[in-house]
Amino acid sequence: MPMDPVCGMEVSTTTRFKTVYKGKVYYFCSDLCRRSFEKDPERYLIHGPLGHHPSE
Amino acid sequence: MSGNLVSERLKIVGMHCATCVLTIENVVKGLRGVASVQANLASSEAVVTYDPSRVHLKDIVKAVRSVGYDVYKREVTVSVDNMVSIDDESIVESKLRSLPGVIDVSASHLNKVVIVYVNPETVDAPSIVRALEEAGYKASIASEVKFEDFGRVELSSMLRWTIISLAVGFALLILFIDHMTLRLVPGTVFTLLGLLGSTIVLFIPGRRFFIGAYRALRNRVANMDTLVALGTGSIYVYSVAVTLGLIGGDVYYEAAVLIIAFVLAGRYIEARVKQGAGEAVRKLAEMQPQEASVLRWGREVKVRVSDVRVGDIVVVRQGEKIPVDGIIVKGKAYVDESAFTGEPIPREKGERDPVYAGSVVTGGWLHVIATRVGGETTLAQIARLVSQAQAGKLGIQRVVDRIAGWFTWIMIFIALATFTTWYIIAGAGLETSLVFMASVLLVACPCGLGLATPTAVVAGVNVAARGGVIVRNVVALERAGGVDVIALDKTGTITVGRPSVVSIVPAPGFSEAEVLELAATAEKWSEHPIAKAIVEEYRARAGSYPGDPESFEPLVGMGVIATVKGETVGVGNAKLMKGLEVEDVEPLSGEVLKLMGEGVTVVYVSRSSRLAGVIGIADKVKEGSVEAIGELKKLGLKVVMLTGDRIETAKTIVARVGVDEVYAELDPEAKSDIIRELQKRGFKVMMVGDGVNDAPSISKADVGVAVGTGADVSKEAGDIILVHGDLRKVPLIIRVARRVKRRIYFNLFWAFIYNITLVPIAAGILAPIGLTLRPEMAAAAMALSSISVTLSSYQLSRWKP
Repeated sequence: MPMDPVCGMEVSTTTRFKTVYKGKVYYFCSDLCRRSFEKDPERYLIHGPLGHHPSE
Repeated sequence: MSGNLVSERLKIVGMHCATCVLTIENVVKGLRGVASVQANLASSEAVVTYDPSRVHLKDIVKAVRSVGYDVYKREVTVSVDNMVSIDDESIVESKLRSLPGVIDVSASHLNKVVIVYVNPETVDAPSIVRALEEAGYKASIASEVKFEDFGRVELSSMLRWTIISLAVGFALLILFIDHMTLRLVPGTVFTLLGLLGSTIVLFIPGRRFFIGAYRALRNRVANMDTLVALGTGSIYVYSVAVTLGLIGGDVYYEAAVLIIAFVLAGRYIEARVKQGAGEAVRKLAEMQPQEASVLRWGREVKVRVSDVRVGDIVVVRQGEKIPVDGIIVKGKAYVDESAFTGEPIPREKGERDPVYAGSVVTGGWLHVIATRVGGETTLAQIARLVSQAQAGKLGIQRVVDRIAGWFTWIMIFIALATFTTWYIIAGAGLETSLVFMASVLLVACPCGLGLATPTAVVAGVNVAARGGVIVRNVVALERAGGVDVIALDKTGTITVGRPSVVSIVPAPGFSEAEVLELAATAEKWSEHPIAKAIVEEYRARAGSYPGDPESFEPLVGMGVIATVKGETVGVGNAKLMKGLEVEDVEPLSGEVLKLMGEGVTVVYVSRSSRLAGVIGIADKVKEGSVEAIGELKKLGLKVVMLTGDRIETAKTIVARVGVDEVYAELDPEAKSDIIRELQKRGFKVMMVGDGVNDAPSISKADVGVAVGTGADVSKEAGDIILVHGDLRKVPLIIRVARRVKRRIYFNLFWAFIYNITLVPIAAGILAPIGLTLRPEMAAAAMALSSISVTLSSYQLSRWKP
């Protein structure tokens, strides 16, 4: 099972909340996590699951 | 408050809040004759106490509906075997309308059914039957309208009696001529044969008139039967009195017999013509095949159509009729749907296409999974609607009915006045006075008035049904003749209503076919409407479905990513392209901007981070829409378009179809406000739209037309339904409606002229110059008059618009 890169939770690939970044698909537990990721993908990819983006 | 109060418990539909209770109570309380009303939110009921002599339940229901709720009603269809004339119809209607719990009644002697809308809390079907029996009718509950019920058996016995009466009549006429000239037959024989012949004719075939007159009398009305019974009766009684030597004079047996013969002949021809008019419904019923081949445990078995269940796989071969509504699961065929659509060219259908019961497979074979069977099929629903519409009454006919009701009494009065004038004032003697009186009674023809509208309506509904237009409410057909603005909804009415591919622009190095195949393969498993449009386009061009993608990942709000032949394929919006790091979007940006300017949705297609091309998706203008709008304008109508879309998108459509005005960015409520505004400006508006989403504006308009979607026909809003949504049928409605209206006025005009001219002549006003009308001639004229009205409408039903 993939991991939500924002909150660190395990999520199913059938989730409605997904995005694609640099050709790779990422899965989220919620729309909030997805929006956080989309704001600054590199932040989560470098530092791991940090929780929601400060602006959310 | 006077009169007896009654209480009625009504089930209210749509009551869901405390304000609803108040709204309903206020509007009902505002009616004259309502003593009290109590609405209950929890049980969704209202108890109304009212004085039935001052307010009818129908008005209460109307009041409830006027504030946006409805009353739960049940429709009871009763077949009444001996309801044979317009007069019976009005007796039946007024009788039933006076029953408590009856909301509305529509009777038709053409197919001998009465449709009664009742409050099921108060009255049930058996009590309606009982009430009719008390009024002297043979009634029984009919769960559905029987199609064969146009009285074939009765027709043949009617013909037999007509011929017998005519034969007896002419035999007596020859004897009469002999009696006046050569006197080969002795006077006594002539008189006795006359007595015998007329007694037989009056009491056997002529019995129906006396029974009808009696039934009318019991219900305190006078009708056509009353006139015939009085006319023949008085002549017969007079002649018998002469024969018995009670009074002196000549006998008129041959006249009495000929009158019955002529009136019967008239009724027979009328019935024949009407049977022809019921043809549309019967044809629909005949289209339903009796047997079906069904796959059971892998084997094909023949079963009766009534035994086919939803979910069964039905096998249909070339030349066979499809027995159920369903979806094609296997096979390919040309299907002739002309029965509903009026469209003569068979359509090619394949897997996943819907088919309808009653269509004919003209080439190929099909396996169809049944989705609707028996009485639920579109065909059965249409047949039911058409036959109910034909039983419906026009506004103008209610007026005519009232006139016809008075008319008979007036004629009886004129007949008596004629007798008095000749007998007492002119001193003409009993015989002459009586003959004039009988002529007046017999020449008067209220049936010409009564037949003028219903026959034209039946004809109009038939013509429309043949063209794929279902008229559900005939009053709407009447009004359609007078509309001056046609409001068309955009999505689904002018346009197809679902997205389809309008253009494919390949990037350098790709071909159109390649782009489409990549996109269609990637989107194959997607349920998104845009994906379906792409797959459908591929199927239409390639003739088969695309191959399967190796992997498939839908991303809500972006598109899909799939693996096709080992490469990553993206189909979606600009955001998806960015995520897939597709950089070379630039070369096509000009095309993209142009498409977006036309209101087209742009879908990008990429393969391994390279842009393959873009696909433009839009809701296409339906085939025939442009033509239909042009034709409506030619008919002198103003055409406006209503849409929920942005004005820019709307304008691109306007430019293509040429409507006069456009109103954009409307929700369903706002659409109905526009209708109201147009009505305020003095226009009569016909609204054409989707029967589900546009229901508010469709019911607001003077005439509501629903564009059929192949869903449950009977569940859609609208007075008129276009079965397969072809906009070209709208001008057809207008033309049929105008034609029907003209025919009705034409019929009524001549019926009036006829009565106004012939009644005075029958009364002997021209006797001083030697012009009189013998009773049998009067009866013949009357019969001819009603035959000509019927034929004039029949001719309309042959018309091909």
